[in-house]
Amino acid sequence: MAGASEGTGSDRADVDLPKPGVRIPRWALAVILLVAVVAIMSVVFGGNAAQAALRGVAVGSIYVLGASGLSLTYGIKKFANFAHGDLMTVGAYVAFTLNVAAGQHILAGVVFAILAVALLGIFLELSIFRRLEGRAPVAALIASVGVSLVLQNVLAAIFTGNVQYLNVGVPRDVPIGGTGLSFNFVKDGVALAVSAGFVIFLHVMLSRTTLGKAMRACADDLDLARTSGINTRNVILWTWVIAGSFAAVAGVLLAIIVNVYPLLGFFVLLFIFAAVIVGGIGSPYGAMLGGLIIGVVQELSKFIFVSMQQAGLIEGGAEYGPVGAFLVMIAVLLFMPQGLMGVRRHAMGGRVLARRVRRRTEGA
Amino acid sequence: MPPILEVRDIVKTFGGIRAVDGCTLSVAPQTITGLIGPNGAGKSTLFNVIVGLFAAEEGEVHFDGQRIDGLPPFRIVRNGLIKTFQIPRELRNLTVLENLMVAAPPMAGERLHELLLRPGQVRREEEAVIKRAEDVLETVGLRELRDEYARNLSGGQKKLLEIARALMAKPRMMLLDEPVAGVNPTLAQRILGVIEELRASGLTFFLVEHDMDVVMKRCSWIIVMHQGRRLVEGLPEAIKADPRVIESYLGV
Amino acid sequence: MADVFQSMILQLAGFLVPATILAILALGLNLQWGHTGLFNAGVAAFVGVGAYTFGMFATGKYSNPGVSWYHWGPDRPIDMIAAALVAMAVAGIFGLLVAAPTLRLRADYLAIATLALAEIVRLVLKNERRFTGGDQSLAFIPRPFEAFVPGNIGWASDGLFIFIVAGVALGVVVVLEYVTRAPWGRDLRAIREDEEAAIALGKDAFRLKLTAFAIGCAIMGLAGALLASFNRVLVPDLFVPASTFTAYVVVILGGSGNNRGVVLGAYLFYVFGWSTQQVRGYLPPDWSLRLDFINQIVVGVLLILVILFRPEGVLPEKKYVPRSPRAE
Repeated sequence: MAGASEGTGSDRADVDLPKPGVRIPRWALAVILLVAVVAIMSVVFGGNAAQAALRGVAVGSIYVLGASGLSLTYGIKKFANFAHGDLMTVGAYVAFTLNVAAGQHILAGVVFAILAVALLGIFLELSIFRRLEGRAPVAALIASVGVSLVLQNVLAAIFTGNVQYLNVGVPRDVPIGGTGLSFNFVKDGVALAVSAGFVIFLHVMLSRTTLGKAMRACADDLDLARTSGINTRNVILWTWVIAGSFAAVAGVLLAIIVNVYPLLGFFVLLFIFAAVIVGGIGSPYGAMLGGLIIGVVQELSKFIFVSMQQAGLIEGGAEYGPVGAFLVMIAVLLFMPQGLMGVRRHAMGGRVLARRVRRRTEGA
Repeated sequence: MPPILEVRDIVKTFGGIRAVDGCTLSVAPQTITGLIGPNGAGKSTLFNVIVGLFAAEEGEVHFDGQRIDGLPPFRIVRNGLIKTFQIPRELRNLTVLENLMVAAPPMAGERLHELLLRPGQVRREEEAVIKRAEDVLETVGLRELRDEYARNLSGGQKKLLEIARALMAKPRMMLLDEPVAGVNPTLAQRILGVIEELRASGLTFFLVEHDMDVVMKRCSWIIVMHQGRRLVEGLPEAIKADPRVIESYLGV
Repeated sequence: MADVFQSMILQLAGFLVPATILAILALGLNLQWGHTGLFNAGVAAFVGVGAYTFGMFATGKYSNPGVSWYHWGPDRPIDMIAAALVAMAVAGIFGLLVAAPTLRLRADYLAIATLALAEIVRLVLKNERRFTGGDQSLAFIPRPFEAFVPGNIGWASDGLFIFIVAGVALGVVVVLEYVTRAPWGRDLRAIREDEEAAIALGKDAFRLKLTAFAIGCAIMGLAGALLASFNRVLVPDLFVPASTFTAYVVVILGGSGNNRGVVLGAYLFYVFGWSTQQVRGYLPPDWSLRLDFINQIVVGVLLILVILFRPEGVLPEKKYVPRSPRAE
């Protein structure tokens, strides 16, 4: 039966694709738009807007790490992992244990955090998520909510719910000469550099290595990958390892920049979802772009809301930072559900389509 | 008699591929008309367009004199045109009886204000529908499975359920997408027998089937689709011998 | 002797009332998720909207005499039943507005979208003090029949509230049972099982989903109104996302789709919390703190186990087996 039918029309929402032709890719348009907005705001509101955008990039770099990891599991396991933020928190606490309790250098903390979360990811897959593979994706989502509850509270039970700090000296912001903007080279710069490094690593892995290609094949069509000879079980486990590692590093970065407490990761979960959705489910590159966009949008909207607060229009100001990012996410969900770089699947499915294309060009 | 179903110049595209490429055809009332063609000819897509599950880019669909393209699927069903799914889509966690009752034409009990204001009427209609559902189940031979969860049915039983369900909607025409594919011969004969009886009592059937025996024996008229359009149509003998038809099947 | 009785009533109310309010809330969620398959992750927002609407209308603008800040509301407080109805209507309409654009999203997208909306609502509740009192709370919310109860606070008022809330819950259960066992409910379940198939069978799925969602939200609003009245005071942090997850735990554990199961789930949840409380007295201090966390861990583990091994919950959906009208 495989491939023989014409497809019975599932998921009507993405049936109609845009007309073919030469177009600037969506994501490039979005970046251009964002840069334009920042430029306009800087002109209108002055340097503070640009500073906000810069902060947004720094914040966004953490989202990039979180979102690319989430996007990997979302793409392969086809469910929204609500425990991803808590994986980050676990990473933060492992680093904390090594850094503060055991007095080691933070880098040792990072290494152990990566190990711990990767193992945790494998454990979760083997014990829970593998068993839910045949079920509706909501089942895995709910299970991940349970996992989230457990992780948060185990950490709280062990470490208490109090806020803790890592033993890392963080210097003050450093002005970037001439532009009137300031940048904290250690705090934000390290975050940016680390994210960039991981992004490059992910890109190289996905495009050059066998594992990366296998991961892409599995995300595209798990059954086809399996019948093509790929060991999908192992690929899935490796996906959790990589996603977990990214989450761990993101968690440690968050711990350095903010602090350590049980809800650390959960609070950024919605932003990371926003990043993945804006960037497009199924595209790690989209998630990376989405992370930066969400970070910048968050800081810019914080800026706008503070201005509105000062103008007396509303009472809340910086607290409304999330609102801008969430509104953008909701808008994307409603009007462009495949995101900026997401894979668009239509009712007929890629395989049947490919076969027909071959027939058309070959002999008819 | 005027055709009960008319399809005019329907075009349906999926990402650059024209699955249905300017298709025009019509079906005469009270017939069993077959729709055949090689894989990828656009048959299932056309069915989905006709019942409103897909929106065509161009063209019109007329049912019983009324234009139905652009209408939402539920309205088309209420007008008397219903389609079964090739792979049965039973409502798994509902019983067989409930599956049928869902398909019944709009009842008072489906509207909240009637539920609250006219409970007697609601109950009467419910009982009438239960009775009719049981009759339909009797006709297709699923009566004993009335209270079984649909997920527990065998493949062949699910096929029967698919047809029984569509019948509940009191249709005047049914589009059947491979009604006997993968069904054992005895059951297939029973299904086809039911179809023939229903046709005699006024229903029109338009069916897609790959089993040429079934098509040739049971259909009074056959339409052949190829690459998204109507290639040829005619009596079964004529179609069987038509070189264009043979070529279209071989060329794929 | 009277003191023991009074403190017993107080204790009982402190357990029964929140549990019943949770049950009502969960019933609304059950309609959306259990029956129709709509993953509304913004439960907290709808309860909050209902609670604050009730608070505003039942106290009126100047409810805090002698204090410089006030919140939005009519000049004079209105009758409590009317206020509760307004709360339900506002929550329901808010639900309509949220649902209309988002219902066509698939389940996980709907979850994320509603979660984000709930966060936005909570932030607005928290920050727009001139509307809601913000973190400084909206206070002096009245309880029904206050005039009949000697002394506004105390065991009599709490005890009376048990009956009020139980009555409301009973009403909600009765209406919901009737409506969900009827063809309307069957249509919702058909949509839950396979929306496209339901559409292909003639159901106006969008309208049905919209209605179910709005009614579910109205019920949540009612729960919020009761919460506001019992608590007498509202703070925005009552409505954090965690409370949404609690509602899901209750629905899934109790039996999604089964109204009685859901009510049972709510009480079980509180029994569990209550028993945790009882143990607390016997533990050394630092373990006592941990108890709350351990409580949540158990809830999380239960949720995972239920999803894995018994997704239908404690009380699964009852099978529809009507009498056959034909002579057999």
